[in-house]
Amino acid sequence: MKKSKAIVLLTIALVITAILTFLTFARFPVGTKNFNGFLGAIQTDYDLSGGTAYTLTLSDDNVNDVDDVDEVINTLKYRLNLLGYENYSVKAIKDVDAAVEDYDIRIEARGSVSRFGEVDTDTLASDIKVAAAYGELTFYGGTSQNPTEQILDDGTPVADAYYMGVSNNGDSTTYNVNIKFSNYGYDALMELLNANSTYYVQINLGDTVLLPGTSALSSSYINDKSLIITTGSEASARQAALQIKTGGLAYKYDVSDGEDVSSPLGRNLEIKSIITISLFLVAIIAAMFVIDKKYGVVSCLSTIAFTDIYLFLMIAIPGIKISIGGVIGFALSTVLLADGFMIISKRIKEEFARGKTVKSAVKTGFKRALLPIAGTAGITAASAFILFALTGGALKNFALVFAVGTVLAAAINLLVSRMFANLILAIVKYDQSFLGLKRTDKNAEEAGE
Amino acid sequence: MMKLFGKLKIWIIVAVITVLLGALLLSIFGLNQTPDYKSSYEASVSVDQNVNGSGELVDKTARAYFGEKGYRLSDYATQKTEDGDKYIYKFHKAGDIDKEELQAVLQTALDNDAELGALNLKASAEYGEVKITSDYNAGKILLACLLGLIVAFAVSFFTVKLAGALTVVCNAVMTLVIYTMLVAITRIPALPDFAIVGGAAMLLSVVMTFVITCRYKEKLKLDEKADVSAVATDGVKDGFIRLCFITCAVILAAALLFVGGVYFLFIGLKLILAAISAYLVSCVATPALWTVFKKLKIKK
Repeated sequence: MKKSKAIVLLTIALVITAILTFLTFARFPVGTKNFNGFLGAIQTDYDLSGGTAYTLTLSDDNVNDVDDVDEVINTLKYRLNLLGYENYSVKAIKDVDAAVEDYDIRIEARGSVSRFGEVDTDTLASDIKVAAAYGELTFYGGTSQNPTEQILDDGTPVADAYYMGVSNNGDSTTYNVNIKFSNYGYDALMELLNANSTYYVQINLGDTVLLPGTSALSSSYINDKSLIITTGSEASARQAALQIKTGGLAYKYDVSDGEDVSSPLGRNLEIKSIITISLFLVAIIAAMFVIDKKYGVVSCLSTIAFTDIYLFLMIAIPGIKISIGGVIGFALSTVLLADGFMIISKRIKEEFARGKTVKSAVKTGFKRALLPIAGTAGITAASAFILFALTGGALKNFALVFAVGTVLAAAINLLVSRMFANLILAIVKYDQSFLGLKRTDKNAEEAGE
Repeated sequence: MMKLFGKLKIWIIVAVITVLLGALLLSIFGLNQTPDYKSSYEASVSVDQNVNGSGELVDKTARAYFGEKGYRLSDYATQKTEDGDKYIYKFHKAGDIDKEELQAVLQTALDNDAELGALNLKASAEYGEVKITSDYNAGKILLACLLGLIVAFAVSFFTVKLAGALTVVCNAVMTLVIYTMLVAITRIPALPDFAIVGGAAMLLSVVMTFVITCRYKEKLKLDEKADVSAVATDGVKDGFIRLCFITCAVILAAALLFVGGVYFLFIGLKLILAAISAYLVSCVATPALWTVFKKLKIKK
């Protein structure tokens, strides 16, 4: 490659990297809104940013005594998981001198965050109320609207219920819930529907109406034991699915208003995490300069590109909320990136020491580094995806962030750093001192040096 | 340093002692659990209005009170409300805290403050017992580890052949065991992130070992008749700086986590143990295991 061409291409690459870096960290007003950079748009979870705390106290008209508060905690956790929450805290608290049944429950979680950084506490509050709802799931049926006769009460009528997704019909958008009936529920309901030309069904949880009995139901609506009902929002669809699937709590709790709280792991952890990761990146870059001397420029530019793209991916991949696991995943991915640089530079040095020209040594060095880098990325990414599929909470977040990071690190090592290396080496005319290369004595003699 | 790694008998003795001691402590005490993962204690203090630093004064006074009662900063983690009028302290051990006494101390501090005294602010305090259930499903985590090892074996088998693949898997398992035992011995609070760092330890071990076995493959490709033991030792020597670099990088990341406070400190300490476990297992066990597996294969 000609020097002039290399300078032009390197300039373009540097400008793109600079723009990406600017977009990652810069904050500036855009009209009436603020642009907070990729970094500002990354969603963080409850364990890093804190959330909203709700206290559940046993209602005055609660009937059943709480025998096992662990069961209540686990039920609430299960319900929050079904509503899509990964990172939250559910704990029971009582005064040290109080009796066992005096436990209050405190739930702390973080609502979803909009693109402009606003936390949706309304949906969170409504989700907490749904998770803590009291009462039994009851089906009513009859030939007139709003039926009052209880049906399907000889067994468990519902096998499963889940949110199916959104559908657009012209101007209207609906959010669908699939109610899958058990064998008993299906047979009993079909019998009723077939016996009546017009039949209404209403589903209640305690006193709350989940499915109003205002529209007639026919057997043709039920396919493969499944009935699809629609709601007006995703949150309400998820909530309806949860309540139809799991019913209500056996105990009646009053839910307090929300109270914003800091992270349970300490204060200002978002900022501290950013400082930690930034210092770490600087240290890694400095170490690469110490180890690879001038060639450290390639590692430095590649690390900057890695950071920019990684942070961008953290907002581009839907549903990622960074938790403490994500911070660890980010740091370990950076270690793998630096490891890749070391593997490449070592291979280049070995090839040169064996008597190859600088250009040929670089080419063969990258070729030889392919197997260890790609193999490592393959193993770690696949393992991380398995961890992601099977676990939850911060561990799941660690797995996802690490899987993305390990694949990206390999791509940066093998593609971006190679591009920077070729462009910069073309400019310095493949000067061996740039790479800190030395031949073994025997090969130096053969090369006439 | 490399000579020390070559003294396999010493390392086997060290590993056996570590495992036995760790297993003993694990069976007696279990893992040391932090406040969020077992029944613990919680104090909360609040002031009716956070004005002119009244919240901070209450927080500072409460901390001084806990100090007098024998608590160190690392014994508790703190949360505060957005308004700054309430502070929650989670303790991982019971203490001699009296909520009436604490409330009186706080009220006195508010009343005696030159600026806040005239505002008639009211302080309150609560002290309670906390019950928490663990979120960790050990079965699923173990299944994930097992499947991860199968994947590691499969990828390694197709790239660095059977001896390399077996070495990668054995090292990952040994690293996890050594890491667990070190956590048990050092009594570093294990949860909430024991599993994350354990997974990270295994992955680090896989990364370190896999690249060493890649090196073995390259060396054997250059000289098929090379002595297996010599190749094994040279492979680790060639990658020695790289292994040190990875370990130091993880230890540095862990040390930087200390900035984040008490929980980050616990995570950082465990990461250091994970890096040390992966490093030692990779440096010491890789040449020995690979040589054994390779020689077994050659014999067949």
